[in-house]
Amino acid sequence: MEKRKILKIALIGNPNAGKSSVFNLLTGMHQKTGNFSGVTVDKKIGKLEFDNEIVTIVDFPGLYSLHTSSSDELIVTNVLLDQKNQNYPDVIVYVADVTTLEKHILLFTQIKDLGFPIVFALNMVDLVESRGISYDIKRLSKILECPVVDISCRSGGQNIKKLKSTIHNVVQNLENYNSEKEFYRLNSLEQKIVDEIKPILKIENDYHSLLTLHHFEHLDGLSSELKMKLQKIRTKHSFKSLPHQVEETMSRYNNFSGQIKKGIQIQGKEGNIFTRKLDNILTHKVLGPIIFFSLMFVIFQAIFSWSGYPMDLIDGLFTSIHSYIENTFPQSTFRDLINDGIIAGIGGMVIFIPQIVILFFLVSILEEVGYMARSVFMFDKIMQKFGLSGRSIVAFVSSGACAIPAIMSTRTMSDWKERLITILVSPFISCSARIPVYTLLIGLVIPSKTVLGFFNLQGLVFMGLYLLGVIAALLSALLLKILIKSNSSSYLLLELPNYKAPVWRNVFFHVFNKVKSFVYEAGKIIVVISIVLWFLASYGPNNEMNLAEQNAITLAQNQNLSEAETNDLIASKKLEVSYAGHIGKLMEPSIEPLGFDWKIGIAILTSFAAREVFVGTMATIYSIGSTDDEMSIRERMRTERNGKTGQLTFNLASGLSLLLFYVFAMQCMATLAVVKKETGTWKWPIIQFIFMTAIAYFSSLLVYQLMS
Amino acid sequence: MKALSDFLVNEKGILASVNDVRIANRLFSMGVLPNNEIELLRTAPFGGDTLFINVDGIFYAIRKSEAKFMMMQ
Repeated sequence: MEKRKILKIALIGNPNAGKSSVFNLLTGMHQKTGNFSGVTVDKKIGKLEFDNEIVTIVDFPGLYSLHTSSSDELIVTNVLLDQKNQNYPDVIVYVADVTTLEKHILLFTQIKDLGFPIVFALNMVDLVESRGISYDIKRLSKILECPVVDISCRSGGQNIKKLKSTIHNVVQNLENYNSEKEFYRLNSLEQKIVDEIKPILKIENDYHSLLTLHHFEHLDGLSSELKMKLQKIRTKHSFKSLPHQVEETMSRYNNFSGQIKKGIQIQGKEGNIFTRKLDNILTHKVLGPIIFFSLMFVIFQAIFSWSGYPMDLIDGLFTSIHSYIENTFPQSTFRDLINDGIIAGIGGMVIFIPQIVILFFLVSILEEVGYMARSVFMFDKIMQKFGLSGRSIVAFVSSGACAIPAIMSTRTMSDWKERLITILVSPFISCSARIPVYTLLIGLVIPSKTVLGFFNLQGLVFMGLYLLGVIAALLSALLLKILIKSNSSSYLLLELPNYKAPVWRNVFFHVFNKVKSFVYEAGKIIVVISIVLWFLASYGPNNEMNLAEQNAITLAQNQNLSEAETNDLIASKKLEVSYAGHIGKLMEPSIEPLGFDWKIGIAILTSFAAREVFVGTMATIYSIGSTDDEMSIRERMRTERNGKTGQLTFNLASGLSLLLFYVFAMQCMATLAVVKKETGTWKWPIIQFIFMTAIAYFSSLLVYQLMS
Repeated sequence: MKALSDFLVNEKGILASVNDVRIANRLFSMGVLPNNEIELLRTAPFGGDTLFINVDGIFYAIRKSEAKFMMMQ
């Protein structure tokens, strides 16, 4: 038998219908996440194996109708109207929630009218008994004119085998597929125009042509001349899209509503009682926000405390690998490249994984259960004022631990402008990496006094820094809201699904896919930058590094230093003349007004890799690199005097200035890598970097000049 | 006839028409149609500008600015 091309199956349906559950059940581990070209919407692709062939399954974003203005939802319309599109399906599996079936039929009738062979998956049938729903599969199959399989995705999955075999049947009999029924008959004006454009588009299907007429501006598969022709025709007939779309929707509903009721009986205008009762508490005017912030606090704490142990393990693992390689292989550039550049870089990336896992695990549960939609309901108005969305709150809270998973979590935000602004301002929120820097500097320059009875001054300053971060985030959001042009006016109109127990399989795949995409995409960038920074700190021009080492050895001998102290001195002197050291000295004039010297300059440069590297770099510069003891670093820094002015380097003014710099500056290449991935371009991370660093520079400048 | 945005909590009514075509398009696509019964369950904290409604058994969150186009009987 000749081998035919691999067939494509599309999973299509309303939001909340349970498409992801079906996708996970059909493909299991044979799935991966990609992007739909041109938009950063997740595209999930998987493989489904039958006895004699394999098919590809593509999961599309959920939508209510092919008539939509949302660019994410338009992906579906785009693909279904373009046979040459790589995602164009041969068969569609339509997933619908049995408990709200009538709402799911609109999109179904549209797809049917396009002529696709469809398998109808009637999902969540495990709920029919408790909801008092009864249905007749044969009847439904006749009304919908396609095979219907009633399934549930809970536990092992009910009837999934039947779904698979039904899909297989349809796939095998593709050539014989014939569609008779038309769910919508075009009105006279529509028919007239469609008859004109069919020959131009070279398609037979009436509804296909009608959809093209409505949405051609957004269809990538059409050439610009074709679009111009269509524009002319539309103008000629003064065809106004929206009213026709509304008419068509109403007409479809009028046609099928009566029919569907013959196949399924659903009771109750009150809605799910359990959900109603729970929402009385969870969205209560006062209790609602309190519960929400408590939950966010729990998530924040969890990320903080649960990630500690795995992070230590990972740290230990990479340190062992590092030592092993260092001790086993002779010194060489290549060894150092691998060990100090690549492996250190990978370690610096892997260490984020526990935080990502924890955040997405918890947020995924809240999402599965249906709670996230409620938070959008509660916070929509406030967040709107700042150009943000209700969902941005989750990102902000998570940023308190780490901005990276927070930024990744914005994928679920449907409005592009709100998502972008959230991504751009989240890093202002003080993350856990800033804590070592805050602690060191506050301990250095802020006296440990008690203020107003029981407030510790150092603690207050600490909180003040956090507050500054939040304010900076909100104000920047406000600024961006005014500056960024967006043509789609956002709407809310959000369906609030009934509360249900999470499907653990979905939670697992969700977390798994997020980690995978982080490692492969952001990971690449992080490793590259690590290597660059390693190189800058380990190599210097001409012979300077060797000379520095020799000088250091001589100096150490004169002072009778121990071996450890000698090594520290060598490291410190070498760093001074490395490329990084030279760059630090070059930077000095520009950071002098901020109260920094070139040594701080080096530390700022290296902490671009990761903020907490600041402490380690300081230790190296002050040649106490072999101690982990923060106290000794602090003591050493406290007595340090500026080479030029003779004054103490770390005084109140310069300390505060440096603190402010770390509050605002964008010093995390991992974050920039993730921002690039989520926005699809380098433009935004670059703008973000410049904007944040500029604010850091000027606030440091202001504070230092005012206070010195 | 009054707009949904003028409803009091627990008030019910029947959707008669939607006065903005863009919102009508979206609402109808979601299955919120003329002759559906709509009940206002509550308003959002911090000012009450977002409405939590029950439309024939299904729950939605909509902005007051959207609800003002929804004319009820």
